[in-house]
Amino acid sequence: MLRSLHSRLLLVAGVVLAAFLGGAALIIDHGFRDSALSGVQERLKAQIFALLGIIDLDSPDKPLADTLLPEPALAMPESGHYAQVQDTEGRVVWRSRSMLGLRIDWLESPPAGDFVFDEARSSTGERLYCLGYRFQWEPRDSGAARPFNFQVCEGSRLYARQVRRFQRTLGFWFGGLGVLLLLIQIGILRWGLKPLRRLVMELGALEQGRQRALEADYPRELQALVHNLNALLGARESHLQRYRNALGDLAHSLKTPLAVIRTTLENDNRAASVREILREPVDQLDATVRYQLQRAATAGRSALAQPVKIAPVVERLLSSLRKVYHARGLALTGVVAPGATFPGDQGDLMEIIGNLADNACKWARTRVKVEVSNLEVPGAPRPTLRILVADDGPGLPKARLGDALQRGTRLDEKVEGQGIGLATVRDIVEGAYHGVLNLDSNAAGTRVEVLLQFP
Amino acid sequence: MRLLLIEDESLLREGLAENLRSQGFAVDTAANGRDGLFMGDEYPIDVAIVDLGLPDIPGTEVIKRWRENGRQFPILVLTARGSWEDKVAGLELGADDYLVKPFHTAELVARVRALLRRAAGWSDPRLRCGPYLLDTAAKTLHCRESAIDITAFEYKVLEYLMMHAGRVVSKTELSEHLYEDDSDRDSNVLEVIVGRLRRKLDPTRTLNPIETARGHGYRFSYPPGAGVVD
Repeated sequence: MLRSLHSRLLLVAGVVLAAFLGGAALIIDHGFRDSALSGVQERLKAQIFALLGIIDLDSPDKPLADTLLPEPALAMPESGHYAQVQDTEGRVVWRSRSMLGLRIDWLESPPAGDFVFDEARSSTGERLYCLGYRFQWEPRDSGAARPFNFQVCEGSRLYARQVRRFQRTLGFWFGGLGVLLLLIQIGILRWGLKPLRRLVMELGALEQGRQRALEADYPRELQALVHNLNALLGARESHLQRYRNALGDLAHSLKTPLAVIRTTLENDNRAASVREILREPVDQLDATVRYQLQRAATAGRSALAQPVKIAPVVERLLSSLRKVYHARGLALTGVVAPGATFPGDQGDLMEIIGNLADNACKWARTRVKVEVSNLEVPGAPRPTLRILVADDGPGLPKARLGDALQRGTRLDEKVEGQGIGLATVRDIVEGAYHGVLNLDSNAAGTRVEVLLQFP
Repeated sequence: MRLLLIEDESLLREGLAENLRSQGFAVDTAANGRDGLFMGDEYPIDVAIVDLGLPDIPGTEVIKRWRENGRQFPILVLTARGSWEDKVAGLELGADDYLVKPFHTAELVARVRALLRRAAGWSDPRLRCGPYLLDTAAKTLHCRESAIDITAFEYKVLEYLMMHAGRVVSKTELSEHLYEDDSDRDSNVLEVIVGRLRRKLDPTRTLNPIETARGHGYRFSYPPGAGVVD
């Protein structure tokens, strides 16, 4: 099956064109042969009448002088023009000189006053067109009229040559016409399919983030599609925004009461027993709400989302973290491969790098490094995006490396949110982007590597 | 140290304020962005704690306008959503730190203290000026390794003076930063407290840690650092 709309249409157009031109050529050729053949017949008939006008059947020895012949070729042997006159007994009364040494299978004699026209063959195998005519000759001495068979014929060479020439001309013009029409057809197709090609180009631009929506100027048939696609794009964006706003409201309305409970519990005048009993459920609620809301807010990859430039995101996050961890005097460095983009949601990217870098800052002794690079993978259409966040902290205990990625586990209760941060990142990376998260921790520090492969 | 707390949820606001006051801060509270914006512009605030999800003016807008108006005090943002986009947006608009709700009050207090120190140019929670060492986390005072017992209010006054050691602090400034807006201010009380502090800090009258700048105010005479004395 042909995959391209263009070649499909072109194929159909070509077949239709060929059938039409071929059919037309056949009909025209047929018509030409007919008219050429009747031309032959007319010529032969004229010869018969000319012969009748000059032949003298009353003098059987010399009925016709060669000099008087209507067609000079009749006097030349094997010229392709022959004629003879027979009486009803089949005796040849006169035959043209061109028939010298030649035998022709003449036609059956027609009834009196009638013409008969058909093909015949000479003894040399030449194809001939013959016309026969039975004529009642009334002698000058007013004797009884005697019937004679007049037969003239003409070699088919002339006819064949005419037909061949005509066919050549026809072939030439029809061929030229066919090529011209096909070119016009290609032009029409290109012009007609241009909006589709533009649509494809625009979708490409959309995917690469050079455009936010499709241009409005499309033909009527595509207008609805383009309109709906734009609406879909807009709806997706605004839907995500509304969804996140709703989540934000939900977070606010869930967490503020939690904060109230916690603050109230932590006021000094509460009974220690109440504080102890409620501490764990409140922490649990907090962890669950935080984790689930984060999960729900993850957008994931969408085909037509704008790719996010990574360098500014890393820079913003690092300068924010520098502010927050100002007192620790950490050296925060970000190295992003030039032009690196994240073909997903900016919020997701910020959560991934933000949480990892924040964790790293909590653990680091002196420095934190964020590195974003593209790894070329043989056979893959796009390079793999690699995000590496490393700190020079004390590292995680081996036994707890697995726990670190478990939802809601806090590796160090004193360092707020550590477990949730890492679990959130794992969730976004593995759940929403089908990526890989590698955690490597030793006494020299912790390195978290995120590998994302985009189709 | 005077804090401004903008939080629309009244239970949380009052609970936090109570807790912070018990930690020795003077706390002004606002229930909405409009009041908070006004108080931040008009009061001598040391640290502002701003909830981002306010009913009238968003917290980010409040922060933005303060910074546009030239307010320099450190700002701690409280956020429920806790997304990095929110945090970064808040920090970029001029906040200095953030805390995701629900937080432990101890964490909030630690962050506020860190911001106060940072604003005054300190990085260590223990303020050392000459022979004196004030531990702002443990709220203890030492002079040459020997502990000095001081009351909560004496601590507040001393903390402010040591935080701004080497600089003259007027009585008005001192009272503005130690009292909330609606409390009675009596400069005589401050004079009494400073007198008591002088006796406790310098019983032998040789170190003279708190100087009086006539008609101006007080000055903690030892600049930050363990300078050699005597």
